[in-house]
Parts: sequence; C-alpha cells; structure tokens
Amino acid sequence: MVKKLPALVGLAVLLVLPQVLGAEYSWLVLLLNRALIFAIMAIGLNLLTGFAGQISIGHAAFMAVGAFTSYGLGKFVGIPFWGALPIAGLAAGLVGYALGFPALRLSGHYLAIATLGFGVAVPQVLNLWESLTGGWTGVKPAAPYLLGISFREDRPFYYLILIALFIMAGLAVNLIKSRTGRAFIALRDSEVAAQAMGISLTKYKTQAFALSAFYAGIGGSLYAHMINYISPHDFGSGISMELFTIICLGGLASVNGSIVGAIFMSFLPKLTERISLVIQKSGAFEHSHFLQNVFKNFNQVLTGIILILVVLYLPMGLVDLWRKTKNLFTAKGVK
Amino acid sequence: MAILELKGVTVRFGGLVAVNALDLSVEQGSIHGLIGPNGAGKSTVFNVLSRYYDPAEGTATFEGKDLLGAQPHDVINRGIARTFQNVELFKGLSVMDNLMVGQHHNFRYGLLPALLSRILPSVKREEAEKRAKALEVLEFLGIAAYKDAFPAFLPYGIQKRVEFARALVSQPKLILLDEPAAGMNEQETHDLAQLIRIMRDKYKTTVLLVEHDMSLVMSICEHITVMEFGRKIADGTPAEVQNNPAVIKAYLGEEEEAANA
Repeated sequence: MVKKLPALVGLAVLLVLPQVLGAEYSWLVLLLNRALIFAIMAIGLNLLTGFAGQISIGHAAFMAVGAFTSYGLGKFVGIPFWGALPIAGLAAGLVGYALGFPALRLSGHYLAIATLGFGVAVPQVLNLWESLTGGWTGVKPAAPYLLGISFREDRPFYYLILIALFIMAGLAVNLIKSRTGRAFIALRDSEVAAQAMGISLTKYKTQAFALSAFYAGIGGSLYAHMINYISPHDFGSGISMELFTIICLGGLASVNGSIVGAIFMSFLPKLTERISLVIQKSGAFEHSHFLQNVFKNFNQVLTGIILILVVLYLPMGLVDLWRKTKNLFTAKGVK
Repeated sequence: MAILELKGVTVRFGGLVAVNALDLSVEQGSIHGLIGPNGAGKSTVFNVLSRYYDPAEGTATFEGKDLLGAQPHDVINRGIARTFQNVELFKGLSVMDNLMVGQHHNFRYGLLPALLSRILPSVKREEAEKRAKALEVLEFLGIAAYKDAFPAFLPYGIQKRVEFARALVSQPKLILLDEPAAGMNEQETHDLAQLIRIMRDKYKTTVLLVEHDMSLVMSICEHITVMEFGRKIADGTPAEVQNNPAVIKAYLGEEEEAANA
C-alpha cells in the first residue's frame, strides 16, 4: 500500500484540482490540460527511449500526424472526435512503425540526428499540404461534443484528458510488466544477449516506435481539439525537445516520472516568472541598471538553473525524490 | 549421434582468417570442450553458432538441420542457449525477470494482450507458469534467495550462476558456455565443474564449452577439441589430447619441444 501511496495521492489531487481553483485561476486549468496531454506523450516517448533505449528528438512530428488526422477526419469525413481520437493514434503509430525500419540501422547519436531530421521535415511537408492543414494560416478543430455535454470549456476537457491519461498510463504499466516490456528493457541493456534469448531486434524496435508514436498521436488529437487552433508550425523541434526534457527530468524508464516531469516542466516557467516579478517589484536593484536588466529575464535564467540542478542532483529524475525522502525517514528508524 | 556438426567452417575478418576450415562434431548428451590459446578462434566459433557472424565457407547443422540459415533470434527456437564471456545480464531487470526473458520465445501472447497483461486471466496464468519454472531453476542452482535482486548488486560468481539459470530455463538441447570459469577462484571453479555435470544430467542437455582453465576442462569434458590460429590441431578424449605433441607445443611453446628432443 505504501508503494502505491504517491500515485494515489497524486490521483486524488488531480481529481479535485480544477474544482478548488477559483475563477481567477482558470488560466491554470488550461495550463494543466496542456501538462497532462504532454504527460500522455511523455509516457509514450519513455516507452521508446527509457525502456527500449531508442532515442527520439523528433516526437512532435507524431503529435502533428495525430492532430491533423483527427482534424481531417472530423472536417472531411464527418467522423466525430470520439472516433477520430483512436484513429489519430493508429495513424501516428503507423508512421512510427515505418520510421522504425530505417531507425533499425542507426543507434545513439546517429538515431538522434535522424529523428531530429524527421521532426523538422514533417511540419514542412504538412505546411505545403494546405488543403488539410491550412499551411501558415492553420485550421480550427472543433471542440468535442458528447451526450449533450460540450467540451469547449477547459474544466470538462480536463476530465476528458485525465481519463485518457489514466487509460494510457495503465496500458503502459501493463506493458512494462509483460513479455514485451521485458523485451524492450532486454534489448536496451544488451542487444547481443536479447537476440540470444529469441528477441527479434526488428520486431521489438519497430513495435517500440509504433507504440510510442501511438501515444503521441493520441496526445496530438487531444491537443488539437482542446486548443481549437493548430498550424503545422506548432509542432516543431521545441515541442520535441520539451518532451525529451520531460522524460529526462521526470525519470527515464518511469511512467510516474513522465507525468511528474510533464507537470513540472509546464509549471516551472510560470513559477519562475512570478518569482522574477516579485524581485523586480521590490525595487531592490534600482541602483544598478545592469542588475535591473539581468532580472528582467530572471525567469529564464532561473528556469535554466533549476533544470541544471535537477539533472545534477537527481540524475534518476524527479521520481527519485520520493525514494530519497523515504530513505531519509527509514534511515532514522521511522518505518 | 552428433547433435551439432560443423564442416569446413571458415571465418574471415578482412585479411585475417579467424577460423580455418574447422570440422567439429558434438555428441548428443556429452560435455564437449573447445580449448586453445588466446586468439585461437574459439569465441568466433560460438559467435557463428549464435549467428552473429556469417562464415565465408562451410556448413553447420544442428539435429541434422541447417543452422546457418537461422537469424540470431531464431537460434534459441532450435534449442540452443548460451552464456557470455563477460556476463551479459540485463541490468535493468531483476534476476527473476532475467529468467523471464530467458523464456521469451516460449510465450504465446502478443502485443495487444501485453497491454492488458495484469487484467487478462490467460496472460496472468502464463506469467505465473513461467515464473514457477524460473523459480525451479533458481532453486536448482541454489540462487533462489536472489530472485528479486538486480544483477549489478550481486557478486560475480552469483551473476555467472544467474546467467546459467537464464540459459537453462529455456530447456535447451544444447547449451553453449563461453568461459564459464573466467574470473573464478579454485573453489568456485570446482563447484562450477560439479554444477555443469549435474545440470547436464538433470536437464538432459548437451554442453559445449569454451574455456581457458585446463583443470576444469580436463575434469569434466568427455571430448575435447583443441584450436590454434583458427585451425583444429587435436580432437579426442582428455587423455588423448593431453598427450598430443601438437597440443603441448601450442600451450607450452617451442622451447618445450626443443627440451624434449
């Protein structure tokens, strides 16, 4: 039970959070929605990078495939969001599966470059496909509507994302504890030994890419119908790098870490912005023009510093904080 | 009856001939040693059998069927398992899960059931079966106490045993041991010799081992093949091999020969 405590507390907090936030904090709900969508995609990326050991820094491309598939199905085929969501995941999964084959020949830094290239190319291609994506202008995916409930507002949409996150995290946890999850870890730790155990590198690497892209596709579809305005350039390298940072900060090869990392990375810039505002307002640096200028951009500096501190002192990720705190107490004899 | 048969196997790396027209025949149910000085090509032979290397010439058959057409991940389906010279355990998996990977090819369920592994009764049953099997092998090797430990925290000797267990759990017809005694002291080597013999008897398997430690090879092998510079220089029982002049020369050098002359 103690083992499950942090997950249960986390779930309880997530369930009531939008309700306790007052109207003046509504903007926080939107931020939270984005964070949880990123958590879903981070879980997918973690399956690929953390568990199967295959790097991808072009993951936003799969998100874009999911987003525009979902939009296109609604707009041109008339499939509502509920049907389009899983198809968007499958479409991205299929693209991921295809990318898995050239990726088989590459590893480490070379795979990083190849996925980066893929991540840069996809938005460019989508940008030219104006009939679907609207090019530079972008398109407006509609808000979902089911059983008389409109998901136009952030709060109902929040619960929709939470259910999706719960399902996707559950599937990932199941997968990790299965033969496929063990095969991913095995090929990450020793390709030679994994093959000797009957694990086909082709089969499991492409499966890892497909699964991971499936998660990104689901995330992309949710994102498109939440934000209600997308253009190909919303899915650039910045998003890919953010996802990669999330899993490294939160914890590689950890589902909980992916969620914690996504929430942390979404709220950190807001937090540092507040801190730097307070410092500026205090007028402490009025005597020095130079320091005033420094503290104008203090939020970005502080964000950077915190990121560096986390990777320095928590190389296993933010999830390790829980274990470390627990050890601190058990070491003092408190069980 | 020979379970494994190599004929004229030649492996070249660029200009270097690592294995030169090697014939090797391993009897079913035997403990067969493949020995030779450093660089003789022993590990290369193992890597051909594991299908990591393709020989330039020659054939290899296992139970009468061609082995060279198999992919590396198919080899275990034929009934060949192996251990590695420098222990290759999966460090991110517990000892138990390492043995679960050892049974990977015996699982029936695929990707979709895997996503619901903790819900579907059929998957849970299969997992439980395989876990029980793994525990049985761990108990046989006397390392069941370490089942939940991660390999990196275990002493080297135990790690080697875990690797043994991982190979055994697949119930192989042939088990390839790549320098099982490397890094072990005299007592550990002695225990290992016992273990290999008991393992062969209990699991009715055939053992082919590459080894430097002569005492181990001489004490447990029923048949020995000696290699030097990629060539086979002797083949026979431990007694025959021990007295073979070519073998003495390979191991002790020219001076010994001069002194004898």
